[in-house]
Amino acid sequence: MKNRLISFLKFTWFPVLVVTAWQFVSSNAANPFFPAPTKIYAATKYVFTAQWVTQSLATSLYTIFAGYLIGSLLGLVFGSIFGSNNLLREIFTPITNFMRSIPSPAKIPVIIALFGIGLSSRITTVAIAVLFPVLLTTMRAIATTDSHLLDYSKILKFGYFRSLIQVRIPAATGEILAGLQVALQIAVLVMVVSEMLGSGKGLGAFVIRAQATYMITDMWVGILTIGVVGLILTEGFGFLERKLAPWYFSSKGIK
Amino acid sequence: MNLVSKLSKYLAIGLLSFLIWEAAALVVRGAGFPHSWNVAEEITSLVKTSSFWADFAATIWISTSGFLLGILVALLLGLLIGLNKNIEISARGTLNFIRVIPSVVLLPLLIASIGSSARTAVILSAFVVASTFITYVIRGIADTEKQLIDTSRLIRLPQYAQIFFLYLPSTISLLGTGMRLSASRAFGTAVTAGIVAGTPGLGARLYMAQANSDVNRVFAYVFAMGFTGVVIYSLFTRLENRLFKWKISV
Amino acid sequence: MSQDIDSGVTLQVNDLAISFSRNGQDVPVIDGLSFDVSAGEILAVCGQSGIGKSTLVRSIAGLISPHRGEISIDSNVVREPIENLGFVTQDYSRSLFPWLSVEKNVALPFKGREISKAERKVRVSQALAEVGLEDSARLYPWQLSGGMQQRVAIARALVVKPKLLILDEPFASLDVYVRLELEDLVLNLVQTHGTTTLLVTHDIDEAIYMADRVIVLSGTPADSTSDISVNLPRPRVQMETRSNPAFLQLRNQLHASIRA
Repeated sequence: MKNRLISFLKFTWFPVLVVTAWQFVSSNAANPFFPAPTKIYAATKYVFTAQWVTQSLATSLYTIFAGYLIGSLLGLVFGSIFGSNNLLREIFTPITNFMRSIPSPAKIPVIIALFGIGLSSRITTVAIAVLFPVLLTTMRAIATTDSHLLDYSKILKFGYFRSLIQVRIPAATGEILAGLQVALQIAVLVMVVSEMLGSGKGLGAFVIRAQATYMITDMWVGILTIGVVGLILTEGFGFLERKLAPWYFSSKGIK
Repeated sequence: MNLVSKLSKYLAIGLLSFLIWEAAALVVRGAGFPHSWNVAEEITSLVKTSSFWADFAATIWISTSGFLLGILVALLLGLLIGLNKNIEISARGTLNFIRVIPSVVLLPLLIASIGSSARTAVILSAFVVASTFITYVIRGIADTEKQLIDTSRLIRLPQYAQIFFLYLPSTISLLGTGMRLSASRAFGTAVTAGIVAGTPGLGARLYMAQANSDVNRVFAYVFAMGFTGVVIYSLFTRLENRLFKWKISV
Repeated sequence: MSQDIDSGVTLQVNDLAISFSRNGQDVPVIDGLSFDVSAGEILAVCGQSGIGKSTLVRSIAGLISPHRGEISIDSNVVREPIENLGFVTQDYSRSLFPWLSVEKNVALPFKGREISKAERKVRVSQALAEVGLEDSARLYPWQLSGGMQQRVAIARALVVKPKLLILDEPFASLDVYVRLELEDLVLNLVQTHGTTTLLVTHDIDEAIYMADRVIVLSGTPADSTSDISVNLPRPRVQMETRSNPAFLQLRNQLHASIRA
């Protein structure tokens, strides 16, 4: 019990200290850009309205989920196909590499120029940003299946699909999951940027609007909300990962 | 034979990319998806202008300074945190939080407090690099070979020598991936700041081209960024292979 | 500062107990172990793998502290690694600093010690010559074979003119020819310097061939079950010594006590 308390304190004293110091400094010296945490908290009371939840929060979450789902599914399917065929892999590796090397936010203006900045455009940008890293990691992971496992599946006379589903994909789980986790962070980034580029809706738009009208405290509420969304998504991913692919974690000894 | 097969491979890839592109152009014709030759034309005329190279130089300058600054901060902070178990535990939660926040949300704060200058972009990319890289530094220190730690105790290596001959080289040898990722992110952030906040460089030009509905130009800039990204990536891969020879042969 | 007459230390282990905590519980590894080693003696520690041999020598080296009992070297209780200690482990590939050249690896123990640059240089090249690596000084560990890497580790242990040399399964990862060669090399060196030596090995033949005395660890938690003097003539010669009837008899005796 006492040990638990100590480790809890070890973990929390620093953030608590930072917030306290921030509170103390900001209420003594009036720096307009760093409002006191108590002020930010007070602002949540009028910012968090039903309209805000549906217009900003729900829109952003919907964009992320839809875009991430579409992009990662396409990436997984095509990655599995390309990765298990040498010719396709040779052809698509450089193309995918090139597409991935374009900074994700830079893909947004392309979509805006073609389709405008509506909700479906924003979902498309997230999907495209997620697609290439997932495609690349899946392709690589599927292609580098342990040759012993492949020999074994040949001995068992597995066909293409059986060996893909029962050998290659399970063996690649760890790397694919790591790729999906990276893609999730990219999805959050692209969601925010696409909303900042004049969509009028979503958390990104809320933050940029607050900045433009010098509502610095509201802006902080938006910034912290996005941070919490990012944190919850990442933690949620980790939780699902342990639920859905426990064999990977137990075999690697990762807690 | 080898060269011929390599050449024909790239030719096939080029041809296929061309076909995929033109198919896309055909499908999204209504939205104004440009033909590949139009974009090629745009690129050739763009790289002849000196303003393009000025923008390119601005982006590279911002990325490089952000990268170096971020690496320096991450190394110093990472060593401080990683070498002490108690500090490491105290910092863990905070670092995790910083890592998952998309850094662009800090842009409005930076624009509001210091404006849309190159400095804003440098600070942001330094922040992105530092928050990316510090995880690698701390993990690198934690992954220092236990036998070497034992050995340095057995030969009574003094504290400073432990840092310089054990922890620092061991950590640096594990930092190749982190460096490469940080470099790409520094570049990506320089571009992003340009798109969102109009800080100088390619990003701002890309945004302007899009605002002017100049689709060819949008594609041309995106292509330029893709090439730059590929060059940065392969540069760092090469650097890694050269610097950390021993790791490869172990 | 230079000690021309080398002499080993004496070592006393008295009622030693060491345990590890596993899942919050203390699991004793060694309990109630006592033995002495006199100056210049070569003592081999035998026993099945996992019995606690490495734990024992790591605590003698001052890397881990015992839960009970005492280890003293020249009547001083060990609390941290002593100054003139040589230590060689099985994992040569992991105990050499990969980013340092052979000579820098060997010179590393001098960091933070008061010794002139010139003397360092002489000592390093001496140590390298002793293990036959004078031509590889500027190479890196990964450019050397396993046997050569282990020679570097031996040179690094010898460069401080150790008064106690601990060899923890030093030859276990090497092939048999290299192994015999290095056994003779080490034997020769410790005898000329009169270094007190602890050799941990699971190989009974190696223990008998090299040591003046062999102790056997057994049981859980482990203590010493037998303490056998090896009265074979020195210098020892591989094939000759190993075919001596006394060697074979010792071998049977040790075999029995390890199995016990």
